[in-house]
Amino acid sequence: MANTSWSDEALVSGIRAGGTAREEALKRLYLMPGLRDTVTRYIMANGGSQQDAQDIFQEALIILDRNIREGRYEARSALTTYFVAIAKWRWVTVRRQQNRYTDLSPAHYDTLVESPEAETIRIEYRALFEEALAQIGERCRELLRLYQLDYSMEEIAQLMRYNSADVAKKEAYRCRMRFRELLQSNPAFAVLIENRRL
Amino acid sequence: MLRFEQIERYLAGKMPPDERQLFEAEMAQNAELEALVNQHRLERIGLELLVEKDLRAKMQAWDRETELLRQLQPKRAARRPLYMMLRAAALIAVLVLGYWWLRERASDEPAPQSNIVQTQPKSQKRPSEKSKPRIQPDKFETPTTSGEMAQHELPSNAIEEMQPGSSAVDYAALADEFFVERDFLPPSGVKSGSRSYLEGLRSLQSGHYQDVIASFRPELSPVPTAEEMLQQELLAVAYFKNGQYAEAEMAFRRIASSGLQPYAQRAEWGIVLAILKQMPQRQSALKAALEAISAQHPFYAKAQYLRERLQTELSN
Repeated sequence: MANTSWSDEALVSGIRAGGTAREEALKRLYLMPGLRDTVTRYIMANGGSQQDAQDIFQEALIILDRNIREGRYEARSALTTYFVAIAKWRWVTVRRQQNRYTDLSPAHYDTLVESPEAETIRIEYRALFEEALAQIGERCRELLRLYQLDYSMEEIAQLMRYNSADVAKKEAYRCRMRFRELLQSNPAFAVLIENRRL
Repeated sequence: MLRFEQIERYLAGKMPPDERQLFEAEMAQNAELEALVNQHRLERIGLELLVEKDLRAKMQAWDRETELLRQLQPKRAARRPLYMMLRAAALIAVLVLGYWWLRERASDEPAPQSNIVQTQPKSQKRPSEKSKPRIQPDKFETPTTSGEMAQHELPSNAIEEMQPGSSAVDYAALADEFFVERDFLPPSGVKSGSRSYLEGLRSLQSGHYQDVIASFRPELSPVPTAEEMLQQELLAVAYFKNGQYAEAEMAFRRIASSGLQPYAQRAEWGIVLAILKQMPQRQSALKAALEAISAQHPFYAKAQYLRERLQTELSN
């Protein structure tokens, strides 16, 4: 697998296409020779351990995947350069949270995430989201994951064995409303809604 | 529902520019709509956790694949000089015998042309079929890029040659040698997963196999989820470690039949090992299980190495 190189265009379009194409593209990036070493060298040269490097490398792939799917990667730099920039940004953020990087500002990397506000919500309210997701049931979780990955309702119906795309659509709506109810029943989320404007 | 879809299209960036402009204008004047969009945006941030969790599981699986290939590499490297020496020795022997045979023929018969025709290799001079894999050490190096060729070159008759009564091969020991927990389970200390899964994992890693067997039902729902797959993996490994190989095989088969990756591919390898523990009675099942691991399979290299080991053991 690693012997065949993929162009940036192929990787990006694979991730955008979703399904197995996305999975294959992400796997190629994850196992791309040299990429992990570059990130590891940076992390270890900046106060991190091998385990930190592994964590940051994985988080960078998660963010890269999200950025590409949500149209934030504009191909102004090579994909690997972008990936390493994300990893560096993430490490700077982690160190800042640990109060160990007060002299470095992550401002240079702001274009790598949707918004600092969204990133903060993602981190601070993670437990709240996870609690709600834990209660919607496994089938709803899988359906909403596919929905979030932009699968069409026809594909979702096929994968999850619904009778039709219409049934899948209704089910997705029902699951989403259930997720919303659970979030809204949590007072912390009400505060979040009240105070945050993304 | 229409409003729901409209907001989702807006947030997913799928709205055409003119519609987007109108929508944003409406939002600027409608506080209720603006709040609803904000609500959707927050929910979408939360739903991304599902994608993230799935991707983390996949990365773990990719790490396991890489690790197993790495496990095989030292063995290949250690074998390489031996293969090269055997290859060179075989070549020299063929050349010497060929030269001697030609000389003998030349002294016996006056017509030199006939020698060429008669120098077809004698069957006993050719390397035996069993020795072929030993002089092709590179087969492990490109399990995915030259899969078809490698498959063709590798011994395919090792399983077929087994005799039901044969007890020369210690199949159980071989299965133990190839069974690596990390092929099926995350490393100890992992914290991601449901509570029941993590409890099961801890029990398994502490050797409390019966607890795991009692905790998870040996069945899958009609539309199995990733969580169920993980639980069935725990169950399959617990059965295996507890010496219940037929049950382990069934658990792996349930996972494999779901087709959900990467669990199904891992399970296909688990089936091979569970059957290996039930040998020599399950020859045809083992052959079929090994054949199911094709050239593109992440466990292909390992399966091929097992084939080779079986052939070596049988030929001894």
